[in-house]
Amino acid sequence: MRMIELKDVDVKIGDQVILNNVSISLKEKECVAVIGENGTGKSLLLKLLAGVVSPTKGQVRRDIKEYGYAPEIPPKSLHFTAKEYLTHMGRIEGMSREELENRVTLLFKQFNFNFHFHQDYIYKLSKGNKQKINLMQSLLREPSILLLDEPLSGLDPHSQENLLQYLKQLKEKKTTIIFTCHEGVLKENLADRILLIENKEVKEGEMKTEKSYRTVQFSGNLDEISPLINKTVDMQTLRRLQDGIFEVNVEANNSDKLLLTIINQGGKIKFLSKKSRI
Amino acid sequence: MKALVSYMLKDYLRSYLYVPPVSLFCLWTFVAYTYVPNPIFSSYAVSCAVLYFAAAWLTITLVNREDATQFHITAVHARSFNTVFLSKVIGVLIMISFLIMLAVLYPILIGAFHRSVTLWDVLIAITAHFLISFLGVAVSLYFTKIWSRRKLSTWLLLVLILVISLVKGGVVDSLPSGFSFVTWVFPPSFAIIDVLSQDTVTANGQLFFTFIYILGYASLLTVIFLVLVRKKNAFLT
Repeated sequence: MRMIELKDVDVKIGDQVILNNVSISLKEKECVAVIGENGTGKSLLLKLLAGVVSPTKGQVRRDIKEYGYAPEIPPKSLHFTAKEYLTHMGRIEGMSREELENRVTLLFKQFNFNFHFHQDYIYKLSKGNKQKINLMQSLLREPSILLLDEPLSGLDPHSQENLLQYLKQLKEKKTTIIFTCHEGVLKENLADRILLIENKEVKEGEMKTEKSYRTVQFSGNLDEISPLINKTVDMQTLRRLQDGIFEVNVEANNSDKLLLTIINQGGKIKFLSKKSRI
Repeated sequence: MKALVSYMLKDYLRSYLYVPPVSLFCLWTFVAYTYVPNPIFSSYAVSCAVLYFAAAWLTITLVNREDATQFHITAVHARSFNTVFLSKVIGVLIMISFLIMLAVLYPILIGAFHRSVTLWDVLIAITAHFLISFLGVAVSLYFTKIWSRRKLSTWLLLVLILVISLVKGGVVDSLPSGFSFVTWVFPPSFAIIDVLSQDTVTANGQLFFTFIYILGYASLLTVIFLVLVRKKNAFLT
């Protein structure tokens, strides 16, 4: 099912054309990364999709009403605590107080929003915490379409990983996610499709899937283990290091499966490398 | 809409941006009635003029309160630009209603007028104060940061327009004959001041026409603002 469609859309700021002749269609359950150099109009495209910017020319068709939008720069000068702010935004959207109470508590937990910051007004918080609030407001009513402008910006590595896992869960729940990013991690782990903005035009970008691998050294009975792991790993990389100890390269996505198989067959993990592109 | 207005007002009240216009208006009201007795409608004409400026000040500060990012977030949650702007207008009018009550009731309560005040006098005074404030709000919407980021020149231009519109009668008299049309572009706040300048104002057809005219003018300005703001991509630049 098509959710948003842009047809021959131009957007001007003042006299300057920023996006020219854009025709794209976003379907249900899709996860799309919007990439491009600074100032090419990625944020503007998201604003256009969110309906906060009108096209100068062309048509925008929206078949959904419930969407979440997190802009690149989080709100800064507000005299509200995080909970008050999220409650206000939810109330504006028509959510009940009880529904909001539960949802906000859940989001605080999900985003590890530190209890110490609950009493502070938003303008006093750090950039990272403002960004968490920005993301939480876009997720108040689990939207069917989520528009995120540089969602990892300002977050610490732990929060970035946390957000990535949460977005993966949303993707599994069939939420359509459109995000702009410069970091590879989101693009590689989430995107089904890439939109590249270049010379004011939006083009379909190539999905470069750079696989990452881990090296596993283990001990155990290879005759029992190898039939079970030959679908998970590239057996050509398997080599014997010394008596009873073997080394194999495995795609990072399959490493958990491999480790479980080895342990279940009575083997022991001697070494596990970090992810690398080899 | 109720949730939006509540959000706007709460944030605005906590920002204390309302303090200068509200305190100046209150101060003016207390000082203006220091000496008694006063003529009823002439006094109300002056409080209308002061409220006209206070309404403009409150509008600019409340509408400009949200930054571009927050405005976009609020609009997405409200699913409409116009609802957000309308809620800002309603928020300003709610704040102004307290000032109207002070302007109309304070002199009555302290017995500052030379004759007793009838219910009609009160109703006419409240309507006149409300309409001139609404006009001040509608005009000021065009001077918010949606249209211009040059703060000082915007403020100066707004004050100039408000002043000229208030003294329009005098300006028309001083212009060469045939040039009075120049003043048509200014908002018709003078019409209210002119009506209230007499000591006895009766609820007749002329008064009713003046009130309808001001209400229609301010409403039209607000509607045109909402249409233009959508086309201009508010807060984009």
